[in-house]
Amino acid sequence: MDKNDGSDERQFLHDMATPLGTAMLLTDSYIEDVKARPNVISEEVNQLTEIYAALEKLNKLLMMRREVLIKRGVPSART
Amino acid sequence: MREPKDINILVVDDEPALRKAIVFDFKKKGFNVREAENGKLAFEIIKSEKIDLVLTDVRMPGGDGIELLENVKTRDPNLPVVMFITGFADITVEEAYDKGVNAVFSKPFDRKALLAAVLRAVSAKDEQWQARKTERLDSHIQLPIDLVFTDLKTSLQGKVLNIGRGGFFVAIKEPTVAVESKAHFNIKFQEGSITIEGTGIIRWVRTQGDEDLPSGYGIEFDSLSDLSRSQVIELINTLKTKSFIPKS
Repeated sequence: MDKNDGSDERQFLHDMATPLGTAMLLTDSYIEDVKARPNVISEEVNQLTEIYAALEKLNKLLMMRREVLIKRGVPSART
Repeated sequence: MREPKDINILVVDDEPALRKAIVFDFKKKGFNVREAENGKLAFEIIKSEKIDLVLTDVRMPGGDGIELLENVKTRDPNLPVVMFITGFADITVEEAYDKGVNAVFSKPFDRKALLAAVLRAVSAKDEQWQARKTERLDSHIQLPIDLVFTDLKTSLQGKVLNIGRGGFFVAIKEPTVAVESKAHFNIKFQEGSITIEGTGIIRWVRTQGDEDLPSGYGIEFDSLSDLSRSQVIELINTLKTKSFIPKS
């Protein structure tokens, strides 16, 4: 990691959110493009939808962990 | 409603991959998009070019999003700002709305919700209020608010109620309803026969008040009755508020 060695978990989750957000945004945008094509290949759409669902699952796990840490009052080195 | 090709968006984020992804997506939708890697560079663009909306991250080396928000609102309180924050950011949702942001998103965010928030924020003032149509009240209301005040001035001084450009704060002793819940409000001021009736979304909750700031809800206007719409517009113009949803 360029900013974080993982020892500060709140910072670690914060840093994870950006690449995950990038992947979710681009995947969702790409699914939209694929669906708009004149000859839609349903298998391709299904696979891309599975990728997006996996990213969403990651996001949910990240948010759950974030909430747990906030409730525990775990401090962050940068805050 | 303005066309995306007539709307200039400035995307501010120090993470190039995410910034470029956001730029790509808004360009694909037809918007004119500029980008900057920090708040200082962004503000230079705002000073020299016509920008209709700013999408900004909070933490950025070389000029953060909070400083940018403050500079933007000092220069033009009506320039919409949408902010990305995380649970660990240096600004709370409550503070962000009080400082004037039109919408707050946590990373990772829903891109369709982001697009909808951008379109809502850049629509002309009249259109924004027209969009807040009266809707039939239904069983989804989780927070009914029925209040009667003598007059607006007394209620504001007593920190019971405060109105911003996009919503209001209402003091409640023990708030129990969660963020994102729907509220129905019917607020009457006897002096001037003013009634504000409509529905809203709870954007933040302050559970423990202190001497300066009471506990309560920050509520964004969602729908307003026809009569209330004109009264809210008049109140906002009179108050000249910089806050989108005030803290108190």
